[in-house]
Amino acid sequence: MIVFDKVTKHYGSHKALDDVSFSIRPREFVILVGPSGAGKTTLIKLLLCEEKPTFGRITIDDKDIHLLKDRYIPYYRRQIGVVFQDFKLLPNQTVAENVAFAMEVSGKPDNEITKEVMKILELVGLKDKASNFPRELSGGEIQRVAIARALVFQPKFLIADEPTGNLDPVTAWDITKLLLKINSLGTTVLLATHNREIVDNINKRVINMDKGRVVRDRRRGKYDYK
Amino acid sequence: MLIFWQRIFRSATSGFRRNGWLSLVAVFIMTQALLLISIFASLNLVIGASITAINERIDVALFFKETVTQSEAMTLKTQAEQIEGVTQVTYVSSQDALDKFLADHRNRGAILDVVSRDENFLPASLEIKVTDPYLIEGIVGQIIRGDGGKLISQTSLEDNQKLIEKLRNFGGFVQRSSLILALVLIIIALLIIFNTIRITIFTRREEIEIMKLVGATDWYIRWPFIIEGMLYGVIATILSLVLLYVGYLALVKPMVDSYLISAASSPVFTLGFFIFLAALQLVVALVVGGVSSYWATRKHLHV
Ligand SMILES: Nc1ncnc2c1ncn2[C@@H]1O[C@H](COP(=O)(O)OP(=O)(O)OP(=O)(O)O)[C@@H](O)[C@H]1O
Ligand SMILES: [Mg+2]
Repeated sequence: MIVFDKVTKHYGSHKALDDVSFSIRPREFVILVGPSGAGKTTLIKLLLCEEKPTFGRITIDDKDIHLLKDRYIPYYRRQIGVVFQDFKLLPNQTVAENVAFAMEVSGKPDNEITKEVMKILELVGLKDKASNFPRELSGGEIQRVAIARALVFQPKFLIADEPTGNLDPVTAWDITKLLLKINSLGTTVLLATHNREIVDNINKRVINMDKGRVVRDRRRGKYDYK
Repeated sequence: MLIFWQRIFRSATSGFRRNGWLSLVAVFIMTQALLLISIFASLNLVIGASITAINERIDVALFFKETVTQSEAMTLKTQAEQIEGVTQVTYVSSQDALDKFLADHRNRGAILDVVSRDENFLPASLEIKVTDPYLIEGIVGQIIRGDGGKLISQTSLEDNQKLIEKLRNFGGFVQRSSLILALVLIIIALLIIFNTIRITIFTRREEIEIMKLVGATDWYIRWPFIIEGMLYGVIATILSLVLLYVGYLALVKPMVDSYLISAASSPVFTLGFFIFLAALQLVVALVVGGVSSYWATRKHLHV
């Protein structure tokens, strides 16, 4: 259970998040929507301990993640798979290396890594691009590499920040279906998106944000909150 | 655990290659510092050994005044032979001394030209051998206080003291200057390695940020940089050891063999000393490399 409890985040005088409270149950699929600048990425950064909240707290199973000692943060992060809005792939490493990278960091043996990487690339449909570099891939393929890297850990919790941005509707749907499948296999998913069509068609919980505030939170929500 | 270190080593060596000439400069400066430290250590050893060798001489020469006749000298010789601890007394006439000098310097034409046989400047002397180097001073004192006082102008004992004094002064000077220079070079090496690592961190900041976000521990990120710094040290140590050995074979060994301390009872540059030098260099190099890169990660790797 992930709980945001009256979380406020200031960047200087700018309030990126303003008194945000909600909770996510295990295995839930939650969509975070809102216009650009609403605070979606900020919320994710707080969840990853990249930034600290100015006020309020975020707890996972009743433990305040921002009270974690610095040296435990890496282990905490290894439990969360993240598809970053800007992908954060390494340009001078191949697709397979980019995905393997996340596992190497956690000290898994090489043969296990190779096996898992191939399995996950097959799942996202990029098996034959394993030895290509990111610059040789299309936008959708890059996004799928980012998803593969987030999934290779078999995380209990997957965060996807705008994973369908800049994609044609068909590819966007493919990726959404992949996320739904992962969720049905038992992973909690938090999806931040602008994609109205997807939000309106998958009938999942939607948290609407605007100007750093949660304006609506519904079990089967829509893109528009008015 | 093994995998952890393999990955870290792979990452460290790639950093070394990526930095190209800057890596080379770091290694070069470090090598110089190590060479100086070695020279300092060797000099210490040579001077120490020389002083010991001089002190351990079991013979002493008493030089006669020019006016002393041979019969006076022979009387003194007989007296000296009676003294406890003396094993052998040899009379060396002025002519014998010159012959020996010329024989010793046979292959130096220039000296032979200068030294004319007519103006023999070498005094006659008594060469006394004793059973124990520590008896020498007492024996010489006894001779001088007796009849010898009027006949002897100088003893090799005084020469030895002067030589030891000179050696100490020279050694002290060389030690001080090489130590200071080595210290300066070590500081320069520290700064260069610090800077090299800083640049590596800068060129890899994106990778580092991503590593952190996917859960790399601080030390997983930091070790490659520290190992890279230590790698500079290891390479510098190898280089400096090779240079030292070549220098030793080409310059020091012939010199030691012919003049300096041929009187020493045991060889000065033993294998043990080389191993000590290698270990000393390696320790200094690893500490300098490790400390400067650790310092760079502390300052620039905001983990
Ligand atoms: N490091 C920062 N320093 C200052 N302001 C920041 C910083 N990061 C974000 N902001 C501001 O906080 C607000 C929220 O940003 P955030 O990235 O969370 O928006 P978002 O909802 O993810 O938008 P988008 O849909 O465009 O990705 C924005 O106004 C942004 O300019
Ligand atoms: Mg965003």
